[in-house]
Amino acid sequence: METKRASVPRELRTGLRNYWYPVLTADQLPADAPVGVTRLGEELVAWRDADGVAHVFADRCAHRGVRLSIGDIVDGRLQCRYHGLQYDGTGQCRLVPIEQRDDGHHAQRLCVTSYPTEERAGLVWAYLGTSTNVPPLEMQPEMSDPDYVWIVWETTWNANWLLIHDNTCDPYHVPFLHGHFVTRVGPDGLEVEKLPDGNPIVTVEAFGVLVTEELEATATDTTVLVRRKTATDDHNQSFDEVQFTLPCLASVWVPVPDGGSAVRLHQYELPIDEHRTVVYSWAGRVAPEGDRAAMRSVLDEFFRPVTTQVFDDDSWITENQPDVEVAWTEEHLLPFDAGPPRVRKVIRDAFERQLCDSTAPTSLGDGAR
Amino acid sequence: MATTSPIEIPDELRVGLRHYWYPVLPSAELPTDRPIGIRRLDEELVLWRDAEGLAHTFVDRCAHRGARLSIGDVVDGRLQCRYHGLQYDGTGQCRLVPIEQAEDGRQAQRLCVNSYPTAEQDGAVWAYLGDVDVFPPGPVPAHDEHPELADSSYVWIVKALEWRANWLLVHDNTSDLFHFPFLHGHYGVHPAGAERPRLEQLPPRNPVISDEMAEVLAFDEYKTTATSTSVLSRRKGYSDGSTIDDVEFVVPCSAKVWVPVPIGGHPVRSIQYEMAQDDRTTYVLFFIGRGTDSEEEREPSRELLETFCWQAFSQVFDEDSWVVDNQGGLDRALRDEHPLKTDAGPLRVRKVILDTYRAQQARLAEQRGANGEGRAAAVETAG
Repeated sequence: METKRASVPRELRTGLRNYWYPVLTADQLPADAPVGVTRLGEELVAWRDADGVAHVFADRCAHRGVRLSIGDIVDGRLQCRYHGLQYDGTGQCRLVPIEQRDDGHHAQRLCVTSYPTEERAGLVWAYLGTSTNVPPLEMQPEMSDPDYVWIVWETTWNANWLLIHDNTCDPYHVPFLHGHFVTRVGPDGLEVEKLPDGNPIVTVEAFGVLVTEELEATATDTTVLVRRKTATDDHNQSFDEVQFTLPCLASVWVPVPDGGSAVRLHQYELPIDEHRTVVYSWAGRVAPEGDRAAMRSVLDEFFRPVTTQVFDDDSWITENQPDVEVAWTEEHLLPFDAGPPRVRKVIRDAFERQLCDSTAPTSLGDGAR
Repeated sequence: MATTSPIEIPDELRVGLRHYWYPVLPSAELPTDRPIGIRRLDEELVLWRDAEGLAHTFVDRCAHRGARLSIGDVVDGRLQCRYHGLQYDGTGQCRLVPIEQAEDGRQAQRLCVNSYPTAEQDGAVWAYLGDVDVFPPGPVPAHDEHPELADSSYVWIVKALEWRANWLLVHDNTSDLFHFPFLHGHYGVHPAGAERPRLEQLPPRNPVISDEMAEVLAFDEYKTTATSTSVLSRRKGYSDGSTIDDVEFVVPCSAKVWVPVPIGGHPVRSIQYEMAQDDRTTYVLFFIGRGTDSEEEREPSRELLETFCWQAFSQVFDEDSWVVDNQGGLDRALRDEHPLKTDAGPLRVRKVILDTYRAQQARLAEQRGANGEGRAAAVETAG
């Protein structure tokens, strides 16, 4: 049978650069200590200055390369643990202790790479790229809608980010892989019923939902929408669409069996490195005034545990796929795999556009001469 | 001191000789109701049993999206992928893609996974890990190579363990009788002549070589002979298995020794298949047997093998594994070594393995040549 023999460019295995990414939750970044994280294969240090403003730098002192994340925050500056060099919020070195004064001759010559940083919607965001035209950070529309309440949390998966997106935009694994539990309204409200593990049996209902009404996938330069043809705007009827948005956002509506509105779930699924992925999930739901605390507790105490259970299944299965290069070379996509190839194409096209952009000035220059 | 130029090991050979039957798992470790994932010759494999209990060996990767089949289930005598529920029969053919809601649907017919010839014999699952077109497999050859396995007066147990070292270093160790008194000399088997033997631990540091052991070390007494498929190192006064005085290697990876039993009677035969899992670890499957003279002796002999012998063996192999692990990997070990006169066994074994590999490569090249000519001829005809 025919398969696409697609090699995955090495740089792309650790993500698309030149985009805004959430790099940690605001709660994870204290006022008094730097935090080291790896994102897109790069070690980063996040820290807060004297005004509490967050900054994200490459996690490497300009002097001898020691991780700044093992250092300290002193007088609103980030201080290296090795020789005590201090950096301000722009990444400029302001003190080399041996010089015995601020802004000495050596300090002025040293700086670390800093990335544009913003704190919004409970997350610290960094623009991870080299482009000088930094676009504004844009949130998804519901996220600025005052009718919604939101929770946000982080999970880690042990697989390459591209395999995670394959999984996310593939609705057909849901009844089979996750079919071992069901959610419903019980006597005490929403509950999860575990079915026996092992030998999963696919009910006709489960597959009937997916077969009788086919899915279609439509793509733009930056998005892919996989949607049941008969889907309506009443998202609480069934799980019927998933949207991918560059660089790494997957969005779904998840029905909740309590009669309220569907939960909007936005997931940024970005590479830690070639073999691990971090996922920032926002779950939001329309909550009438006065009902917001109750709705938040539904999200926290019911929705998040259920989603975590689903993620555990997905993480386990993607860990059991080969490396992305082998997985994509040896796979046999079937007609119902409409989502994965389109999402891969949007990602790859974006990657190639960036390659062209970065070479364009040089070739123009050459041409002019 | 002998001077030798370092031996060059081709990359492929670092993870084993392909195109042979291998005992990949004791039968008892393969249940009827779920698959088992293993790695042999650096390849991930899934073993499972169909509705008749027949064992099968597949590459551990679903044809659809590559998920390991070993995390799946056995359902209705088929192997079912955990991701989307695709089901495979014993030939590796996909028989169900659940989304099609029918058996043998159009998509199912187009998918299959690679399978290897599989057999069950002497308490082990055997898989033919190789190219069946270029090197057509015969039956499992173990009975020809190791006639005791087919001898009904023997009782056997099957065991397995793992070493943290490359398989070639493991064979260096196994085919070297001269490390024995020094590395393993810190415990004795006592008391000789008692009804039940037991292990006595001597102080582990500064091993002292006893007179008896020194005798084993008199290497002039040994002779090593090789054929194209085997190497035998044997004491010239070899008699009756009253001491460990010979070891034989047979391609692709078996080594066998006679081990005396301190209570007397028939010595124990250990036939051990030492195969690569990957570049750095080795799986060893043991057939351990003992001859008997009557039906009544069978059960006591089996018990002796299961308890005393396996305990003693495990201890010896722990020490070997530890020493071989501390050779620092195949590259360093081969680059920095200085073989002595006592190392005739290991050197011969390496040569037989390397010659076998080269002969296989020659045959594969010949085959590719033939195919190439075939294609060229076809193109010419078409043109």
